[in-house]
Amino acid sequence: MRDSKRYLRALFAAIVATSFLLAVGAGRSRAQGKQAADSRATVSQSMKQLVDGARREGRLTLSLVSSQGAKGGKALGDAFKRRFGLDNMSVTIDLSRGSAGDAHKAIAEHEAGITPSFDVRYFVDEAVLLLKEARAIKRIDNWEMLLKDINLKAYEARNKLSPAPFDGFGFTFATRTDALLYNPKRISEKDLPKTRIEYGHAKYKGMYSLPPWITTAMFGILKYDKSEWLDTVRSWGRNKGHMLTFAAGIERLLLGELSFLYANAYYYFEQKALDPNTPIGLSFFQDITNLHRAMNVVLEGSRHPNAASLFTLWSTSEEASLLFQEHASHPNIYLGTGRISHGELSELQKRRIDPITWFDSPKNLSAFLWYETAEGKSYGQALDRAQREGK
Amino acid sequence: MERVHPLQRLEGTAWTSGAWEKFAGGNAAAYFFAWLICIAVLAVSLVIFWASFNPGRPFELRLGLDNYIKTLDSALFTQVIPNTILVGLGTVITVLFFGFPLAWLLNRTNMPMRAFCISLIAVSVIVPGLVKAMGWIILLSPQVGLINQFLMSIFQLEQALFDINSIGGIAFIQGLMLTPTLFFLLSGPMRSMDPALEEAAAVAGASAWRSARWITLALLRPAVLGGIIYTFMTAIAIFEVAALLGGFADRPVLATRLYVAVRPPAGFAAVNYGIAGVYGLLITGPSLLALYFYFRTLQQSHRYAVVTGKGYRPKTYDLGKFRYVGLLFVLLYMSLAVFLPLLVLVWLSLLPSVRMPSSQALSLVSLQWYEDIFFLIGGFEVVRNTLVLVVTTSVLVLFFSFMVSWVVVRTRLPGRQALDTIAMLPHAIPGLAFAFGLLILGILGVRWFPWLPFYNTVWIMVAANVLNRLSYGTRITNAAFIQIGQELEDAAAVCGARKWMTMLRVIVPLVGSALAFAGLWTALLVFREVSIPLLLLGPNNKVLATQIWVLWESGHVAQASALSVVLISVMAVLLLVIQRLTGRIGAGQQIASS
Repeated sequence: MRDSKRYLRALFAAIVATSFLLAVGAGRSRAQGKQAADSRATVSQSMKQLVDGARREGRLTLSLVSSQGAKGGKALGDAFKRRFGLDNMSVTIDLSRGSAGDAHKAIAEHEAGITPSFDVRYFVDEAVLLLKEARAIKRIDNWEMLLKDINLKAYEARNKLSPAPFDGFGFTFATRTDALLYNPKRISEKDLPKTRIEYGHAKYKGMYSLPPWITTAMFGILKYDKSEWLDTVRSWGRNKGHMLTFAAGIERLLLGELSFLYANAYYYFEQKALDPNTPIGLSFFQDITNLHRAMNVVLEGSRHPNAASLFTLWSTSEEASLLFQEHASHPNIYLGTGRISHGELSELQKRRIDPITWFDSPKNLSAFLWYETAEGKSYGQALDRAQREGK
Repeated sequence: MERVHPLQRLEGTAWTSGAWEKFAGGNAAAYFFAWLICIAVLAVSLVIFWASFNPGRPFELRLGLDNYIKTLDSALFTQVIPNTILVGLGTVITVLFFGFPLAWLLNRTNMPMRAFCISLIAVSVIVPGLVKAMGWIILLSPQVGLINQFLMSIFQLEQALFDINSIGGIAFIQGLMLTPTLFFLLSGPMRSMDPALEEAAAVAGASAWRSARWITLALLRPAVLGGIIYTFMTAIAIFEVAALLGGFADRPVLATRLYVAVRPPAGFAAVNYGIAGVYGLLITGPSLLALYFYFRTLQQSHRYAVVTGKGYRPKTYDLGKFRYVGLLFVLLYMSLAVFLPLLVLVWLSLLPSVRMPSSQALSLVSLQWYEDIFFLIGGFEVVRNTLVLVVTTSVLVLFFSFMVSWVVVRTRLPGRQALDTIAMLPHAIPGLAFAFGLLILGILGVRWFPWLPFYNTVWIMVAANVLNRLSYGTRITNAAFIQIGQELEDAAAVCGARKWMTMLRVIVPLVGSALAFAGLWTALLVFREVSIPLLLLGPNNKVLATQIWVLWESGHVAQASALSVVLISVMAVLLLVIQRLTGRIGAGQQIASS
């Protein structure tokens, strides 16, 4: 019985890995084939059709990262309209979305057969995969050629911005690198934990917070043995000061209530932009530095599919990235344009850190998909309890 | 407290032509609308109940116990339920500590500036609990809280005395939030109390203390018990304070669990509508029990009803040299509930991001977030939505409360007791659960009636708030109707006035001030309500309360503070102007003895 289970697991992993490689290969050959076949004029024609379609639709309802703010949202909407001559388009921007709950709400709307609330929404990469599996998001046809027309640099980075599992379904407009943020008034950089294992050391008891989710903790199995890793997360749970969202944790860090915490690196740049003397420092773990993509997707059955596709593609461009950095401090290290993207890249390079994602390799993807199995779900629940209760 | 005799009786049961009119005797419209709203309450309650047994998506017709099996884990019994009960009890204790003395000082003594203090208490309602909690974190955080640091330096302590991030902290903030409610609940009975018994006690040689204990407290027992139950039921359903101070996982309570089930904070954890339904029912359970005691208290209240509220002037106690001590107590409450947290908010709103007060932080002070206030508000659409939500909800709550109370108090139509019980049901069900039930109905509604402007509109929020506030509205209208003699209606009938004309021309003017008070109070509570709009938020129905929450949640505390300061200031001015015009806010006697 145990052998057969092991066999099934191995088979599952092999299928996933093969699918991944085939998808990558197919994507590349398709792109190369199209590059050779399609003339520049044809691509421009597709672009023109998309813009004309968007103009006819005249409306767009989208969700943005909340930190973009209403001012930043307006700036982004205006820049989008300006770029494509869509002066009369009405853009409704919502800043309260993006949580996992919203992915499930979008799936519920799709499965109920109703028109989605939004044309474009943003989600982290993991949620995008969930939406793709549920067929709740739409693939943008001919996306590579359209992207070439919109922004050459984004086109060049297309394999990072919409890599194989997403391949035209989700488009990275920002990256969220996991960093170790600290208050230099409370602790010096040399005294910080160097690895995720050290993070749970008793000497740090009460000095940091943990988020009420396990997306970071899940990455540990890429580096450590599962049982060793579970013990590590238990040690975090035992020694944590609070359990807070990243934003709330940063507030307590600035007040001096917490000494350090792991959170997205962009908080560092955000706070420094507000006040260069803010007591916040940036460091990284030496063992695991994970990265999440923030992606825009077009909802299946959206009311304004052309405008939605156009915005989603444009949001990966340098112009959009600069606006995301200016207002939300969200970099896009795959694109590499702008002050914050440069800043984060240089910090990573200085420390010779290459952030990992679930979608870098078949091995990583199969590890991620393992969490969907019964065994993985049970392990995920154990991680959740370990982080919450230290047990 | 005596029930009014009905004008009309049921004459026969045959459903012939005009039988409906004969059955309802001119009350047909009231009867129809009363049942309409009560059926809506039952329907949403049923959806919540059904969802708790549905392991799939809302529109799937599957039933099972999976949600209960998943929910009823060890943490629920060792952490979540005990925390919830402790928060409820702690809130009640805080509310009693402040609310009872305040009601007595401001209604039965010669304390100076009473009218002004009552206005201040009314104004304090507009400060959202979320905002109070944000301010108190700065004041009572164990590591850096200003008050803690001050006390530690004075008494040379190594550890902070207080920790606001605790069950006690949650109860304290919620207690400050709900004190005005108890204050107004007690003000009515205190103002209308017959002084004869107290005078008799004094003649018999009883000391002021003995008189207060054996006469005043005894007479107030139903109102106090009602207030305690009301407070407990409200306290266990509040989500935002527990979320802010207890985190989503550190000190979980049922309300935060329900919220997280429908809106997980991040990651890609599944939304579980069924589990949300289970949590909704778990909150409803103790509330229903409390509701049972609430009704029992009301049933026994006639034993204490030695007065009718007319023709008496309660005895005013002379505080002598302690008059200003009373004033200090009121100021203490106002400082804790409003001034201190507001001061912190003003400080935060002037900074680029969160900082403790220091000379360095002082150099960063600017009005930059106030200059951006239009963007922080989110535009005219948000203001319009908020106005529509607040005004429409108040009007509808008044309308339906009037209809329900009319049938319950002024007729003997069958089912009126059931109507009264159903109308009180929303108080046992948390607003979050109502919002959740309507979310499911909204999704189903779009599927079946895509043309219906409900899902993702401000109207779904209006519906949730109307249902949620119905119990509150009917308590006020019930109390108001009970005070009106039947002879006025009889006189109108003799003069040939039809029932609706009597309602409009005779009854409404008489209960007008109670209705105005209920409307204004409902508007304030709806304005500050966060949890219901958050759950029902779509791209086009944002309101001001959710804007503050979203700013805070995304880490923009300074901006959230600036927006809060502006909103509180505008609302306070509006409220004071309305009070100046009507002179009625804070009277509150109408709520009392329901």
